[in-house]
Amino acid sequence: MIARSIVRSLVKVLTVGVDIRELIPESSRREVELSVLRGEVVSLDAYNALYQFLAAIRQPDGTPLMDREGRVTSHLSGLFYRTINIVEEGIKPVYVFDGKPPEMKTREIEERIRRKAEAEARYRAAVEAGLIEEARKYAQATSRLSNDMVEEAKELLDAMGIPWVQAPADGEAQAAYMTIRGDAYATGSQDYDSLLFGSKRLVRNLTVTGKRKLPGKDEYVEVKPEVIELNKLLEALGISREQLIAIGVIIGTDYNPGGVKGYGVQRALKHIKTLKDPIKALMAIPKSEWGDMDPVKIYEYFLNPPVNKTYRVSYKEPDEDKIKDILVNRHDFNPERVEKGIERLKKAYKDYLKGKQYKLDTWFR
Amino acid sequence: MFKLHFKDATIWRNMIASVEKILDEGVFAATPDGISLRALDTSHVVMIDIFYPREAFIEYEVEGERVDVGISFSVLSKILRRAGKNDELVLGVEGNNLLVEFRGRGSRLFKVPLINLVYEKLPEPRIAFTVKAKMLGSIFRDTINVVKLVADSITFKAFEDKRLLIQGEGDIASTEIELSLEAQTLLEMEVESPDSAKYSVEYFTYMTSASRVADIITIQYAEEAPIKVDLEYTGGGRLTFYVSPRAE
Repeated sequence: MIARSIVRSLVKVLTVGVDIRELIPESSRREVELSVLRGEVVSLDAYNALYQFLAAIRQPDGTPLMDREGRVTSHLSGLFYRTINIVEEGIKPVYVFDGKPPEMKTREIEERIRRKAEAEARYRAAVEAGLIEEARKYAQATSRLSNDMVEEAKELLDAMGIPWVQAPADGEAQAAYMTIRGDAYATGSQDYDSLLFGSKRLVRNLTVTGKRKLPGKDEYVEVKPEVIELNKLLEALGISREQLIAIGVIIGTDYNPGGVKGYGVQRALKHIKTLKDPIKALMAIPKSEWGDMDPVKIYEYFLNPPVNKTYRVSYKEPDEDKIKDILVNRHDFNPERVEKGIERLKKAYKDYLKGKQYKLDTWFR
Repeated sequence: MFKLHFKDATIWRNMIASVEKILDEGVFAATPDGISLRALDTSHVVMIDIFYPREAFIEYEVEGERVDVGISFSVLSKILRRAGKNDELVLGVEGNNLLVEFRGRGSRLFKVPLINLVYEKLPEPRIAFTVKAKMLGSIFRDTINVVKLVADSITFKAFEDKRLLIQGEGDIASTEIELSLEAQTLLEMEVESPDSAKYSVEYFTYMTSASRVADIITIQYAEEAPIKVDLEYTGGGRLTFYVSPRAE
């Protein structure tokens, strides 16, 4: 049980996922105001969001928020206040939780365990040396989500009346499926994986919008949400989704970290465009280059991942007492601040979540 | 050349005060016929459509087929708020600036940088309206002000006997206002089918400034369809809002 909880807790850290950032032309990224997403359901990668909160919501020396008993509460604080900010803009979030990681992912998980252990050692050294900025940097990389923390996040969402969906495996795959089925307008994550899984639209920076600290500097920049449409991206690159998956597999995914040596995004794109057929393109790379990974298996996983098809997305009235019980009674949150948050949530529920606000677009067709 | 001279600056002041709540920026297209603007808010729930014919102006000079004037509504609104009761409004373009001048007791001139926006002609939404009601601007404004006190949503219900019921429902209280030809709170009423439709009241509160100076307001709607609110101004100017419906 403990072992599983550690494994699950390590499924996601901050900089994971397939790194196709460089592949995305500027013309396919659109910086938007939050209000553009008003009335839309966005399926959010829950682990991705919770890890962001754990990493970002800290004291200057890197100590996370904690209750009287020393239990970390940064993730709950982020989940509560950030979700309220989102629904206040009229966006309808649905959180998607990862399920059991597929066996293929073990190597990435081992790698993350190693990186975390290293970060922890560096964090301790920095604290001892009194280097606050250093300490914060490494503390962020040590973020861990235990099973209890995840269960409590789900409990808080239930109390808030915000839906969440349990994915059988990869949450990004589930979130993407929800856009394909038309139950969500976009997926929300910092990673690009959902595009490989077929998400119609990816919204980045949704759970971090506002100000972001520049790494290693005492400066903040304004972060706006960014929308990437899969169709437009594929069109701009002149490739199919299958070919995009193959590119991802070549440059490396969570299931084959690092990818094939010597291949960057540009070389991978050229390779795919030359050979066209995605499977042929993968097979054309010598077997020895893949190590013990089967590229076709990974490709097929991205193409047809296991998903939960019986989920429900519905919004309920916030349960004030339950929210207070979790945040104030159990975790020593400031009662006045929580109260104010609940008021904002109730108003947003009434204004945006309760009913459906149509868009004028329907009447232009 | 672009020069518009308008008799009553407070009309533009109140119109733009409403527009500013919905649009950050936009492009006025001035042609020999008049000046127009049509734009959607970022969430695509509201569309604004303005048309002011050249006859509405004391002086109207537009060179060529069209002059595009891209502006930030928050900046323009801030300036127009300075317009007094007897001020006339003169708009001009000089280089990359919009000139806004108030002529009343003396003259006050403001320069606002123009924004480089691409003018995009939006189509008009296609809606088969079933209800049409005409009323004075003041009646419309009073109605909205009452509904917004208690409610988040506003429902319009039409009856065959030419009555229009406006309902607002909130958590704590609700309200119901009846307008009719008989009580002379409506000037005209056409009911093709006695439909009702619901909208978020928030968007109607944005219209109150503009309705303050409007002579006549016409609403048109149909069940589960957008409502069209036309505000008519002295001289033939018109400001139209389209608001898409909500469902519970």
